Amino acid sequence: MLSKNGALWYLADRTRYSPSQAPVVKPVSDSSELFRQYKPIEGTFDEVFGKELMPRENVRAAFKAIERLSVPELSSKQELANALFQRGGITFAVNSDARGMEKVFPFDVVPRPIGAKEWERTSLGLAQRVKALNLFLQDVYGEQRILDAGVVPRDLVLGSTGYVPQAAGIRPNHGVHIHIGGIDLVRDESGVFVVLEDNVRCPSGVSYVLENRAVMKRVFPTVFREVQVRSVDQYPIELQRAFETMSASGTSDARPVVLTPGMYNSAYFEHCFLARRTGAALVEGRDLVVQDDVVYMRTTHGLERVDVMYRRIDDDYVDPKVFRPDSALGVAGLFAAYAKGNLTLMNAIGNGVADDKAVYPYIPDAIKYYLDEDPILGQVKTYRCDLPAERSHVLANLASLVVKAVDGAGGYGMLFGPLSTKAEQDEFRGKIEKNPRGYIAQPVVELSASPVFDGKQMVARRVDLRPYIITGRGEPWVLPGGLSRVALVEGSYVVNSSQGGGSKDTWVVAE
Amino acid sequence: MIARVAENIYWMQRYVDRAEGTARMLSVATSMAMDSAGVSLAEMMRSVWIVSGEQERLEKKGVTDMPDPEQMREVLTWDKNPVSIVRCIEQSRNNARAARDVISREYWEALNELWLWICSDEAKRQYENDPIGFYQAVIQGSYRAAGTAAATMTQNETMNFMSIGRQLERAGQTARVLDVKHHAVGPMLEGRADTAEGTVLWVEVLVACSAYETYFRQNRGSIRGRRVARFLLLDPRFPRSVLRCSNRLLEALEHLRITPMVAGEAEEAIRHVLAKVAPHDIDTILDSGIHEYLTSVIEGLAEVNQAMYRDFFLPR
Repeated sequence: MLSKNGALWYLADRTRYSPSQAPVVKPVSDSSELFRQYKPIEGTFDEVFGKELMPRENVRAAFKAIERLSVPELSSKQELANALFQRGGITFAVNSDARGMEKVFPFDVVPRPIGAKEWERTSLGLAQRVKALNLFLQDVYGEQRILDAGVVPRDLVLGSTGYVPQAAGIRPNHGVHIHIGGIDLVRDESGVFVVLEDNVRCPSGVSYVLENRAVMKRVFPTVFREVQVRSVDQYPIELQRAFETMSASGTSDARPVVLTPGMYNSAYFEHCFLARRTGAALVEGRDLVVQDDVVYMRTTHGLERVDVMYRRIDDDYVDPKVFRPDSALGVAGLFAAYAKGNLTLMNAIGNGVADDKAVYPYIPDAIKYYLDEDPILGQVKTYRCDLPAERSHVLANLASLVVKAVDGAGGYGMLFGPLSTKAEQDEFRGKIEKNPRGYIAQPVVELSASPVFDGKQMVARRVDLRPYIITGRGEPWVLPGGLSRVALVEGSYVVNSSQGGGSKDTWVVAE
Repeated sequence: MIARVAENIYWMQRYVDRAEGTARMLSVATSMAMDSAGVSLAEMMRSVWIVSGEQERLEKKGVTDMPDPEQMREVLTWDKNPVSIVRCIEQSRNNARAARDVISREYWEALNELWLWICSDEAKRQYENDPIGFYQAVIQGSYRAAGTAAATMTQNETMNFMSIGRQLERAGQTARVLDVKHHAVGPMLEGRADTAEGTVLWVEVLVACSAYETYFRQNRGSIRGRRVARFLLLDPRFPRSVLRCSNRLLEALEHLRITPMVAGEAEEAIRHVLAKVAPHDIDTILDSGIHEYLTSVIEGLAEVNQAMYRDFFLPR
């Protein structure tokens, strides 16, 4: 699931973390048993406690009802939440088990509030970024103006593992490449959201956003009366609207499909969830057949045309005729149907070039180039290992940088310098020297922290955020909030679900 | 609907009904063996064993010795083999998980909860301390799922395939239960005087089909094998009678017709079964040999299953 597609590695500098020296926070209210011992993580931005350890005004209301709870009361709420996830089968499959063992994604019942004003600005920044990324993809697979202008180096783009030469010259229906985007955000030391990475291939996790909210309504029925939280239920409706407006045949009665690798896929729950909530049919490659460049599904009443497909399978696997010949997940002939415009694929083929981590440093320039606007959201300083000067800086500072594979995700293929051993650094030195285009490096970014209930009290834990952006015809739509992932285990710096990470319900709250 | 998904939900329903049927038989056997003079648990379990298909499966493997009754009960409840209650519930729940886009959330939760419960320590404890209660809980779980489906799902293709799975499984179970008992109390059907032991066995058959109370509402006087057989085969209203199940199966198949005028092979097959159960009176059936008759009904139902593949499940 999240381990495959996310920027989950989020870590911070361990050497700065010394809980014993950190001052104890003033409780939100003096009588709060839960917050009595709460200590912010030194050097990180605490999302709830601000100057002089006073609760921040814009999120304070969200905690008013929760801080009153006793430890046993909050424990029983946590238990209820866990039971609801079990019962709903809201699980992800663990990859290592061929039979598809299912696990519940750990969930912390303490909400993560974000003030509405801050969200407004962030949301504009996300829409702006996705718009520009979409124009970039149109351009790269079309006229290549941005490459001619030298704003983004041509070799970098055409040499990207995410660049699909077969897609050159193909304009997807209505020119939309990124119907569903997930842009990972983290807060810097001053608490400002910056973009950590873009996910414009198959970003996952949105089902947890909606399920987390449904569970929270059961767990804190009264809190929702006291705090104005923005709803997330619009997501499937927006997705359905995108299905409808993107349909290749233009007929509104065409049935959309969600293409899944099958029930043993780690994100199968989400594939099912999206199909259920949008009325799409959930199909596997073996349910599909292509005749005369038109895709059909095999139904109990014979073949039925498919003209819009939300596919949750990577480019490489969608069509064995064009991409990996050994793949049984897609269907032969699908690419030709797509190229002819007989099928809308969501997302389009070849989007990987836009979320390549070595292309990422150029996205602010691309925003300016296409939209003639300044980027609303900042991003993290990035060193390209294919540039000799930057490479030598990276190689000289491996112990203090974060090195990532340009097409990697989920904490795989990366080195977290401050916590790495000499041997690991040497291994990456070798990798970078062998394939400099394959790696980038970034300075360590502090994450922000938010209170988490550990069963006894509130403790500060690091969080990141993945908002989701849907684009149909017209302006991009941004889901209020997004998936907050949290490093639940003390001493762990990873929000990856396979390594003690969990999630929280994100509340965009009225101020 | 997607052909693969249709097959999936058809089996989802068959499996949960199979678990329910096995639980009902085991519940009766466990209960009656406790206090019915002249009936041993071994005898009771033997018939459950045969109905479940374990006997046949083991014979094919060359195993002729029957396990002791406690072992049988264990195997039919927990074992890794595909006929055990826990495996049937797991199968049903896994099929449901793979078909969540076509069933209601509530129905999925009902099946998932049944599965979570049977995997829990609580269920294992109950099995040890209160086996009848344990089997009742399995049956209740299946009822709950069925009621949830009826209350939350629209009468569409999905429900029709579920209904076919359910009715086919039920009809088959009733026919098998009767067939197994026919061997045990064969002479009674030929009109000989009912014995105390015979009465106990017919009570078991009725309870195994959840038919005990309904039977006595409709039949005054002492329990007779002939009447029990008539009730379970030919009653037009009882939900587990072969006739009723076959009629409902036909109804679902008629709804699934692609063109209103053309019947599929499955529909032909169930009409064939109906021809065996509808017009007959029980005497004709008994005269021609109940075992042969039930065998032909069971084979007819198996043919419906085969025809479902040709009509709907195999990709065309």
